[in-house]
Amino acid sequence: MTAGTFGGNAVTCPACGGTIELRAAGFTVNLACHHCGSLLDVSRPEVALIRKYKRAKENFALELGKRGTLFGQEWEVVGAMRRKDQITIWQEFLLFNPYLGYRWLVACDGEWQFGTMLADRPQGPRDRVYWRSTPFTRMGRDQTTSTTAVAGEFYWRVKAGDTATATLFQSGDTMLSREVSAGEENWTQLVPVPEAEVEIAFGLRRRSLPRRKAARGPMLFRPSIGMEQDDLGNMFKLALAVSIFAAIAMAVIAGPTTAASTLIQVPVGGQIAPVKVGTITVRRPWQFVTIEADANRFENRWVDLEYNLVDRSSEQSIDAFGLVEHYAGTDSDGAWSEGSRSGDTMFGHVPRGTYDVYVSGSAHGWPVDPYTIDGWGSVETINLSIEASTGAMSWGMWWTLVIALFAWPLTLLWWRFRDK
Amino acid sequence: MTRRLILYALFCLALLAGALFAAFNAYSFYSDEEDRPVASGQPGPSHK
Amino acid sequence: MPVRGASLPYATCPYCQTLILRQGLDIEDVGKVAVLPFDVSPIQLGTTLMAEGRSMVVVGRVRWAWTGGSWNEWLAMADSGAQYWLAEAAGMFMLTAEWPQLLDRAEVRAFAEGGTLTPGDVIEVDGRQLFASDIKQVECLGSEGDLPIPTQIGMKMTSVDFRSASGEVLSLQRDDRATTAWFGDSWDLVSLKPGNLRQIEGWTVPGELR
Repeated sequence: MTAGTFGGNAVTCPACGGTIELRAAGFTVNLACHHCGSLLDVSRPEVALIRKYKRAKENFALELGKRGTLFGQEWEVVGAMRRKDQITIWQEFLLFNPYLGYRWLVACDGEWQFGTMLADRPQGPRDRVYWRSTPFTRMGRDQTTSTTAVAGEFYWRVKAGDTATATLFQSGDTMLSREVSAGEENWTQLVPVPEAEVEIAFGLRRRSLPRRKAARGPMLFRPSIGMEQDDLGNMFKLALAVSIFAAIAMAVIAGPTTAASTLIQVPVGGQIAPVKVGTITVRRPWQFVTIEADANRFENRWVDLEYNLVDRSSEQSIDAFGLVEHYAGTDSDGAWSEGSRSGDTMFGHVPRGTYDVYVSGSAHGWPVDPYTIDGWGSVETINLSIEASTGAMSWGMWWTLVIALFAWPLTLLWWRFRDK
Repeated sequence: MTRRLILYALFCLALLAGALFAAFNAYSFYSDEEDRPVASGQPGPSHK
Repeated sequence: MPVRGASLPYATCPYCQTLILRQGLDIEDVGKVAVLPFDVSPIQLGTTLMAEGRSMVVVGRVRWAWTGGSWNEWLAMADSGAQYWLAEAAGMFMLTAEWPQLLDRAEVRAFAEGGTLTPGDVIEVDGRQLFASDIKQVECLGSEGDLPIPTQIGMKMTSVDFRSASGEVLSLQRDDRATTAWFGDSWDLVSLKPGNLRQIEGWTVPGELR
């Protein structure tokens, strides 16, 4: 322990020799020297050096030693801390008036709160507490907070790296904060203060304010302290509601439906010339046309299908392709199969008009085509039912929307569990 | 209501508007025209 | 120097920092007392308080230190002669009166005989549950005024505070000579209706305290 000197209301830093004004003499326990950042113990007549530092001044939004009036009382800024949890970083200022004791000013996400320590402890179960007969509802889960930087004077042993478990409770504008550290439980009442009032009272170093949400790109969705959980349920509800609404709206917009169908036989190892499936009509300016091919039972075959939508008035053709394939076999892992005996093909952005639908195709065996004529002298064919219709919606687009909608809340949820 | 919930609601509205616009014009990322399924190679099982 | 009532046998001489014990007509020099460090407490010797319908005046002060800091205990005397300790920490106050009937409790007696208490231990006083929250070894840093206990440099004691949810406090204090029990409540300065507060340089006394 290096002893410094303690005279009147000024102390000499035992680390750098600088003079530090002691603003809350008799109350202050720890002091961070504003010249060198060293942490001092001033609770006894001889000043003790706790930890020596040599570093630049920490920048806080309020200057230590500033005096101003808040809620009709004069306060002096005596201490400043930078704290963080997994979601945000904020600043806390310790205000002092020898006749009134200590108060807190908390700056987080562009909002300010004025804090008063409670002598009486709120009572109640985990999610709801009563303080002076007002019920307060828990906001979010417990957060582990840590102190990353300190400056000025504190009435307890403070140091960078201190951690506490914080829980917030809310009733209207008022919040109660419970902090538990080293077995000690402290409650603070927090009420909002307009930033303008803080600025009038103490002046603001805006460049040192904790960064606002908007400055943070993906952290745009970062909540104010304690609010990080509250809105997650609502986000999921909103995503679900929009998903359901979109499914209905997309189905309604996609209509009306017309359909045509036929049956075709495709020889394996051969092909068929275009067959007319039927006529369908696109009744809206643009619609989807879907063609569904369903085959009978086959194995280790594939069928290439080509569809043509021929516009009756312009004779223009829109082409698309479909594939039906199914394979099965046995290997060291047992039986396997893959593929599907039916296939959907979708034409997007088909303009209004009447279309004749044609299908042509070829079928093949895997790994090689079988003999085209079996022992009975008949050709192996694959039977397919082809149905063309207008008025379907694109479920692919709907699923894309659903994934995009749920991406944010799921990311937030993932963050939370990763933090745990 | 939190600020980010409002932002998220706006994000949902924008997505919904996009999806409905695409539905009206029958646009889809997954339509098959001109997109021959075997173009990438021979058909056959990918099973090894 | 004025020496008040026989119930306060110790006095600190403000000129020579000597602790004096008064027994009958004899005055005995007990030892030296450290100079109190400068502080900005709003209380001073002579400050008057009004609590629970009783008016009292501050006549002495002890400054205690523990590993987590130091604080003032002000001794207030009511008109009736009853003694109160006003503990001042972080701008909050606890006013306690001696509660000797508690010393008959088994758990308190065990502590008085050298037993230990652990945080969370419960004691019931006046139908309220109080939990041991603060257990510390304290050391006297200095004193002023009239006091019921000797406060030489280096005087040590064990202090245990029990608290209830609504702010009541029970303080057990054990030194070489005896154990005492003090029971009271948490206060803020305004509700103590103080008079004759100290004028602290650079600050004005807030309106509600004048």
